[in-house]
Amino acid sequence: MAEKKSLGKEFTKGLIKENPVLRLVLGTCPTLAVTTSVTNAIGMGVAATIVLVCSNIAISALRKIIPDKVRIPAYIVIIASFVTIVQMLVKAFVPALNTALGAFLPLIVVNCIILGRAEAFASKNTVLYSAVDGLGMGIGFTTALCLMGTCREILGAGTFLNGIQDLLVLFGDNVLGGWNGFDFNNGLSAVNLQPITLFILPAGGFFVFGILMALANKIAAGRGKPKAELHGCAHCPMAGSCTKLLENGEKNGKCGNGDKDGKNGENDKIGERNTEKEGAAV
Amino acid sequence: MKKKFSPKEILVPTIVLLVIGVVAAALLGGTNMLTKEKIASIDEKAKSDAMQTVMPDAKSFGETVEVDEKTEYSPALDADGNIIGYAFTFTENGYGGDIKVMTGVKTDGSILKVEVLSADNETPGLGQNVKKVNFLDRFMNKTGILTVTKNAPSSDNEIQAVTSATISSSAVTRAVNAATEYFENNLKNSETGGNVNG
Amino acid sequence: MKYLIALLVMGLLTNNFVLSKFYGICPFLGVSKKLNTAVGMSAAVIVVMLMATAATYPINKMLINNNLEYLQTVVFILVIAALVQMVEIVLKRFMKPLYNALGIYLPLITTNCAVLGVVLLNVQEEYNFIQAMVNSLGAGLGFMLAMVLFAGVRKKMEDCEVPEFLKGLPITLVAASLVSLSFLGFSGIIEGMGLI
Repeated sequence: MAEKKSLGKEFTKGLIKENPVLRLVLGTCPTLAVTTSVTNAIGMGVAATIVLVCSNIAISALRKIIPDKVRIPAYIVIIASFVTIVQMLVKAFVPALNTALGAFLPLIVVNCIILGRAEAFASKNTVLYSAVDGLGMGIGFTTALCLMGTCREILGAGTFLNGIQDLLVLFGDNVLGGWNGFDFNNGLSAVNLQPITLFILPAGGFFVFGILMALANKIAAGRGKPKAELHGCAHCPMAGSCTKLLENGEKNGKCGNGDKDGKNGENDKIGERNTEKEGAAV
Repeated sequence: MKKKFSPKEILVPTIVLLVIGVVAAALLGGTNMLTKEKIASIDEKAKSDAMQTVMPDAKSFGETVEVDEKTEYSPALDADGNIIGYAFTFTENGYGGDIKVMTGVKTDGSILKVEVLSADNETPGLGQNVKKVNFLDRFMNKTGILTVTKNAPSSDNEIQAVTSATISSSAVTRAVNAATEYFENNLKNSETGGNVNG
Repeated sequence: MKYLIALLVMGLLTNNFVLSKFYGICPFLGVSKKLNTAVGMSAAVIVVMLMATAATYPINKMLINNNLEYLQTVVFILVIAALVQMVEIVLKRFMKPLYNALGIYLPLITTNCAVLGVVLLNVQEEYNFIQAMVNSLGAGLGFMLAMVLFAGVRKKMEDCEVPEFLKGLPITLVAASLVSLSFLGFSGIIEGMGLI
């Protein structure tokens, strides 16, 4: 693990090569749900990034203290605390974002990116590296959300950065002279777009995500990289138990595509621990 | 997997978890203390802003009366403490959940202005457009029971729905109707015109 | 009663938990390859959702009475995690056949945002106990409906020739988009049935 690591690499890998959304296919729920506007996408991305960096730092700092057996409940408590803190701050200082994101703000707790990074990276690396990893992954997540948001907002609503003042309120009233984003369908701007409402509907979310994923795959293929696949399980801390059960002759199930990292042995151990873990939490 | 736990093996994780839990709870409690008042004041301000919007002429508002879970109203007072109208809040079912609507009703029963307080569960870009001013302005100065139409209104008590958001639009209209109806039935004649804790 | 039916229909059709609210997308894309796994997973989700709702309702009341609302997220996720673990142990010990059918899906449910999502929604909407249970049931059945339908779609898709660049996840997402689109057809059904 310790070979040829540099801070720069840890940071940039999250942006493109291991982009959590488009390459690792993590955190799909918020990706689809909050990208009806770029403003929401930025808000969600920043909130998740803050949680990710904080929880990575905390978990990495505590990695020698937390016993293996109870690490998942411990991680969950740490992550959930940071999420709640961020939620309270958002409520107090950016109230419009709280209404826009609805339940998806507290649901950052179960965003696989965060638990996944905690398990896969922060629990094995130093504080500095974990913080940088969290920041890179967070920015990668935000970028992907913004990409989705841009496509969906321009095509579906005919606006861009609409309602940005809701976020800018953090820096005072009427920042940028009260500018509240572009509006392409009010007849006032040079470009006039008739919005295709479908794109901000849920169906449009799936569609845009599919097309972006295809593009990302195409680019990756040009560089000789494999396609993005649902890695959910490989990064999911629960993967161990279900892979193990699968191998024990249970029914054909999901986690099949989780084993290609060749980490089966390790996953198995995790599984064993998993089945014992929560007893202590109760 | 079946092995005997030594006391240490049980105690250490329990204590560590306990400590993490206590620290986390303390942190949350601290943040909560810091943000609680701010959050409460934001909610309060949003409500009073909305009341001022639907009753622009009011100088102050009397105490809010809670009729039931989904209905409440506050009398709007002028400088002398006379009632010049009411700000009603009604909650109705929209497409995806509750829509909370505040309606300003003048003492003659006509609608002054309408404001949507929350429509968070409506489809963004469709149902949520009922929050926009150009829809809400359609209610201005209307009287009586209103109906929703998809086309341009042909009579005075018709409200044109937001494009492809008829359900959300009619939810708002139902809330407005409920407000005028409540006013007609319960408040219009009991009006004392006197000071309500002016 | 009318309202309860409306809640159920909303969760199932007009506000389908997966296809229009985007909860539980991971299992929706991951476990829907085969019909039997799709049914198994959704059955497990329904059971856990109902149990989690029943368990968190009194806990939430307790939190509110003590002015501890801000602990909701932390407490709920721990309750769900513990609950899942307990269900697994109980099933394994006493109901082996059921465990064989649902067991492998249980660990996946802790981090399934549909369960935490429904619990948080119930709190947000301030449903009473019965409404909360019905809402959870609707959400769970909606999850199952989406999974089962999509499993069928994916089975058909296996026989299709898909352009290389769309193969795999992209075409799955586009198909999901079409299924989600078809659910738009239900809009207005609640009004039409006179449930509001």
